[in-house]
Amino acid sequence: MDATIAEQQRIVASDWGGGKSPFGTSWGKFMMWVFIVSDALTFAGFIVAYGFMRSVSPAWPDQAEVFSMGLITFMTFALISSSAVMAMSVGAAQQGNQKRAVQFLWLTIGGGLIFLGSQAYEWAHFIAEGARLDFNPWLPEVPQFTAAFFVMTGFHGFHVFTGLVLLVYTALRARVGKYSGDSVEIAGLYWHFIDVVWVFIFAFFYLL
Amino acid sequence: MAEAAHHSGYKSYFIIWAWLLAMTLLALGAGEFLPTGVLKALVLVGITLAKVILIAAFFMHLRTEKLNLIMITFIPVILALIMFSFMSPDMGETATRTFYLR
Repeated sequence: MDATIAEQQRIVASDWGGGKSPFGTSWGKFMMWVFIVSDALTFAGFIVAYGFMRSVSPAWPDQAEVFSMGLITFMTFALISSSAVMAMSVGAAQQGNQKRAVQFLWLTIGGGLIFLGSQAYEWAHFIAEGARLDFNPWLPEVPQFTAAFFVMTGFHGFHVFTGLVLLVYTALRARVGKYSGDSVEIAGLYWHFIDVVWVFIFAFFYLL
Repeated sequence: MAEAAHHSGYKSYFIIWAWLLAMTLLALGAGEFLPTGVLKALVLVGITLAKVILIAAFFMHLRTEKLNLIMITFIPVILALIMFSFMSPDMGETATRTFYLR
C-alpha cells in the first residue's frame, strides 16, 4: 500500500504528473517547435526525393558550371548573418531592451531581403537560360535537375518570404511596445529553422 | 551586471557566427576540390550536421531547454531517416536500369 502511494506521489511530482508543462515552455513556443519538426520532415522528404532522383539519373550537370558559386556563397553569408543578428534580437528582447531588439530585428529583415533578392536574381537568370520545371537546358535527358532546383529552392524561398512577413509583424508590434521576449523568440525560431534548411540545400544540392 | 551579461551573450553569438562562416568556407572548399565520391559526401554531411547542431544549440537555445523538448525535436527526424533508409534497395544502379532500360 505504501509502495503504491509512493509511486503515485512520484508520478505526480514528475514532469508528466499534470498541472505543469512537461516541456518547460510556453504553449506558443512549443507549438512553433511542433511546426518546425513537421516542416523539417517535409524538407527531409524533398531532400531524399532529390537524392533518389540523382541516384537513378544516368548523369548530373556539374553544379560549378551551372551555378554562380560566388552568388550562392553570398546568399549563404547573408542568411547566416541574419540568423546571428536574430539571435541577438532575442537576447535583447529577453533582457527587456526594446530599442536594441527592434534594431536587430530590422537588420535581420535586411539580411532576409538580400537573400530573397539574390534568389530572385538566380531564378530569373536560370529561366532566361531556358530552365523550366520540366526542362533542363544543360542536360536535356535529366529534367530532374531543374525540377529539384525549382521545387527545393522555391519552397525554401517561400519560407523565407513568410519568415520576413512574420519578422516585419513582430518588429512593428515591438516598436509600439506590444511584444515580449517570448514572441521575438518564437519568430526567431522560425527564422533559424529557415537557416538550417538552407544549410542542407547548400551542401547537398549546390556542393555535393 | 545585466548589461555585462548582455554583451557576453552577443559575443557568444558572434563567435558562433564566425564558426558557421568558417565551416561554410570549408564546405565550399570540399565541394570544389574533393572528387565526387563517398569521402566528399561524408565531409559535407559532417560539416552540415556540425552547422545544424551549432544553430540549434546556440541560436535556437536548445542547449538550455529541457530534455523532453530536445527529444521531441530530434527523435522524429531520426525515425524519418530510418524510414527513408528503406528506399535504399531502390536506389543506385539497379534503379537506374529499372527506370531507363525497361
